[in-house]
Amino acid sequence: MNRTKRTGFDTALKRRFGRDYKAKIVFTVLIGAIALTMTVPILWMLSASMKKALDVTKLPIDWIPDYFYPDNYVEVWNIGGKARRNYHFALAYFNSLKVTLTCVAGAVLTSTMTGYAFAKIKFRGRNVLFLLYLATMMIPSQITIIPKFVIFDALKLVGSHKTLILPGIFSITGTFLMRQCFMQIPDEIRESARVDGASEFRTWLQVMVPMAKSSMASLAIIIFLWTWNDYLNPLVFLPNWRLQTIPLALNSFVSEAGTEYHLMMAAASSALIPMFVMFIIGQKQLIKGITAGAVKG
Amino acid sequence: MKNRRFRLSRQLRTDITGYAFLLPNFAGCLTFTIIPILCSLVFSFTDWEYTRGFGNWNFVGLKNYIDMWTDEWFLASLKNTLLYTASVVPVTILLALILSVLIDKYCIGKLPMRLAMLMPYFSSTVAVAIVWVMMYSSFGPVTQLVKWIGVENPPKWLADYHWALPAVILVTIWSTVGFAMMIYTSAIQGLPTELYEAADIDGASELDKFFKLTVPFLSPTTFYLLITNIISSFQVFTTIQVMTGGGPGNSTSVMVSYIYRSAFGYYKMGYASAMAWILFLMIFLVTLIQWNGQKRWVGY
Amino acid sequence: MKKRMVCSLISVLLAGAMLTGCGGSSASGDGSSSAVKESSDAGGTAKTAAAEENPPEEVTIHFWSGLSDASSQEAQQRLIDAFEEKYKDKGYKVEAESFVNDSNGNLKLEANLLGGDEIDVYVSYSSSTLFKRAEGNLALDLTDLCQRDGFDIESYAGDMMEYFRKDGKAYCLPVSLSKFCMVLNKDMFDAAGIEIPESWTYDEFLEVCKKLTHGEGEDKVYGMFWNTNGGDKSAYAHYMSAKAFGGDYYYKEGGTETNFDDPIWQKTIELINTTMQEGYTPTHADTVTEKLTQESMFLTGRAAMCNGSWVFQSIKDTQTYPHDFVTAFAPFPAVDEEHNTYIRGGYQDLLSINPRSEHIDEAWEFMKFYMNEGALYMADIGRIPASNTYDNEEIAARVLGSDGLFDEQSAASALIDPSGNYAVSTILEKTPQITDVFQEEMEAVWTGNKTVEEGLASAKKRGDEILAKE
Repeated sequence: MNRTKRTGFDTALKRRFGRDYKAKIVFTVLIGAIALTMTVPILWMLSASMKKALDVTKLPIDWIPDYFYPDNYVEVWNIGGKARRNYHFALAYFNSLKVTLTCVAGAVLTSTMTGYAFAKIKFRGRNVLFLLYLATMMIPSQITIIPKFVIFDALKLVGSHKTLILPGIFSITGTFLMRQCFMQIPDEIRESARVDGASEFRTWLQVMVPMAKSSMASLAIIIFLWTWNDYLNPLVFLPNWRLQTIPLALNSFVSEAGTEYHLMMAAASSALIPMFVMFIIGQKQLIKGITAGAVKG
Repeated sequence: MKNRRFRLSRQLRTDITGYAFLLPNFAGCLTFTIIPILCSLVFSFTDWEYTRGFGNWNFVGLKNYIDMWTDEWFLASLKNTLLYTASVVPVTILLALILSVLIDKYCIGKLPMRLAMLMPYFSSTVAVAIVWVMMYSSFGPVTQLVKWIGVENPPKWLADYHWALPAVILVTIWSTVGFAMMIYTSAIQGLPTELYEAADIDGASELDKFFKLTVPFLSPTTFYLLITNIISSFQVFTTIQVMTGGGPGNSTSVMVSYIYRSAFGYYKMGYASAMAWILFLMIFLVTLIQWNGQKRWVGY
Repeated sequence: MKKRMVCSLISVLLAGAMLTGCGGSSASGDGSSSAVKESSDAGGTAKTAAAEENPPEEVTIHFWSGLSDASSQEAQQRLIDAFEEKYKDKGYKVEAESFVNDSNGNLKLEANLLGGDEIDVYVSYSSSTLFKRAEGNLALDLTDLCQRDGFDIESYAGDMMEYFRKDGKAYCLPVSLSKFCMVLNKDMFDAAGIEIPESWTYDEFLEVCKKLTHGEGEDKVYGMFWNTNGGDKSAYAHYMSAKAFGGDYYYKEGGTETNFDDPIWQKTIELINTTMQEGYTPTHADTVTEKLTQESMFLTGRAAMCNGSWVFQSIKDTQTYPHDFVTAFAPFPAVDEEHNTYIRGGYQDLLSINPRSEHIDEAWEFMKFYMNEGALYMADIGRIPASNTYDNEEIAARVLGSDGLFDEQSAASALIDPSGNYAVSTILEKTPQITDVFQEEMEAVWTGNKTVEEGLASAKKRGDEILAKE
């Protein structure tokens, strides 16, 4: 431990940020710059939502408009009934929330169960079945739209949100993610729980799940984002405007004559809020991590 | 251990438990995923046009599978898809790995940074596509930047036959990195700090710790990301559709866009299904290779 | 041990309970959604059985159309209101649903025709999609209904209806008839001393383009704007060549060969290419990279002409697109005087009934109303009625509006007044693929990757290959 003379500033920085503060500052700036570029589309969305129609596509891009034109929001949300046309955006918002939250809850639950089974329970046919699961991810979903529609029609489900929710609560990618997560947890933990007399189910619920919280949070965010922004499925399976979700509602701003970007971006910006909320909630779980579990030895 | 009358074999009990856990998920997947996929397999052997209604088709054997190899549109889309995947996946994963570790170790203000990285994923695809179209335009920042470093006559990016695909690849990497980072971040939370401390005491350098501890520990996550990203890259559709529509010419036409066009533009559902199955076979092969390889480099 | 076995059984039962639990959550999800559906379908979709007495049970007719922008929806709503007013005592109500008229939207429409029961009447926007739907039994054969009511479609809509019959049977009612034409900025024409043409050749058109182009850089005003970013990368070249070829503008007689080696195509593509190279119009690359549209070019005064007359709705929407110049119209230029036979245009909106509908009679009433009485309301957005039951002056008045936005004379002759000799397409089977090939080749020409000759030759070769394949 050399005691060389250092300036006060230096020491202060060291104390605040640790010994490698130089590296920290450099990286923060660099990566911060990259992160900033990532926010550009959102910034554009917000700025476009405040512009008049023709100014949206004007180049060079006018990041901060000379005026603020909140009328787009009034138009989209039909505040005070003043809009020229009722886009039923609030209803679409509600529908999206309903469908997405249900799918998230269901998918996280079933994936965690199934992922655990694939990871830890050595039942016969495990590998083959898992490969089958993976295989189903590899067919582009566009091609299965029509058969799915026929099945829904046979089950008389067409024209309800069930067409989105039922497939949505079974997630194959979720199963995959949770499997990987559980495989990282040492077998000994499961063994010790079983030796203590817990059933498989209790082991899962009381020992494993708490340790998997951070992956579950990731999964919740993923499913939320996918379902929230899903376009093709609602397009085909929700024929009635009363059922439509936000991506479809965004379509109301598209017509043969072109796209009304100013309105669409006002709508899309409003749709960002739940995603942010979801992320912030999930983020806490992500950081809390797996230390809640029982790690022996 | 008395009372062995009703004791089922241990393996059988394990099996039952396993399948019980599996049941809800499997039942749903069967109905809504597996059966439609099997239907599409049947279609691929017919000349079905979906407007004719279910069942109104003629079987044509392997004709669809044979025809596609003389179809220039199919071949072009195949080439583009392979190029696209081979570029996007390794770069995204590598960047995500490095960035997550760096942010975790070094950055101040982690939450806003992570949130920012995920922003492209939040935004509607349309918004991302439009913004990038503008960024790539003659007045946009990309062109300005290229001019600034001295290039005289920058290409027209999305309207250029040679540059359109790389331009789209860049956009995909840019928008997917944040997502992969999120996955890595949650895995990083689970790294055993004791081992790192032990390595510090032994005097290991940062790079050493990275390669010998971090990378192997994160290998299950890397495996997951590799597989899911390959699968989704092979199936890219919406982004390209909105940004270039497959143009100029054929240069950004990918397999799913051609499948979609055949099924719903030309009404050739049978042919489209056959192409989808070829796509599936390709992905499956790649995944199988990965799966078998996982024993060697993925450490559980 | 017994204890273990019991535990496993409990696990299985719990898993089963979880399944029903999940089913429960989706059931409650369904419960609320069907509650929403029922409470908003307040009238109920009860089958009507000659409910003429009081009070009539309401019948809701679901009408799907491809008009999704605000002004079109408003015009359509006025039509619906008029219908509901007329049939008030029968309790007919119309509920409109819209889809975007692109491949996604048409997929949505067709999937819901295949299954579900949400559609009674819908609109097809081209004869090829109509015939596909007719083939698949997704459009009702109207012969019986026409006979029952003595409704002779041709007597209202003219002989062109013949081309829209399949095997002599009618599967649709045509409700609007449009002429496509060039859209011109009259103020700019006046300033340059050019008269609005009633017909012109390619050479004359080129001259006009040149005269109307002026300025540099940000202030540049182009003579012409080809809409190459708007869904047709060949700049709608066929609008002009169809004047010579007629409706089957990609084919030679008999339809087994493409006609891209015809000198008229050569001249047409050269015309467009020249305007791009001479700077009378933005290049294709610029149009694409800067996402130029008719609204952003023509309605802001940056271009004197454009070639897509559906910009009409935007012209009238002065709130979103403020402008104060007068718009005039002209037919497309023809290659020369002799080859000026056909008019590009035809039936636009084709109404059909879903054979699975439960309200076929009511749907039929709506369609007849739309065709013979209601289409006038759609004139507000520039859709000229197909039926001859309307007064021409009334139509013109509605189309032109009262804001002085249009030059009445040219609008009447180029846009509104009915004419003969519409270019109607009859060869439909492989047209989507031929169109895609053609557009790809033309894109290569506009971007300078191929010469006009190479592009057309390549288009011919690939087009013929496609026609030869089964």
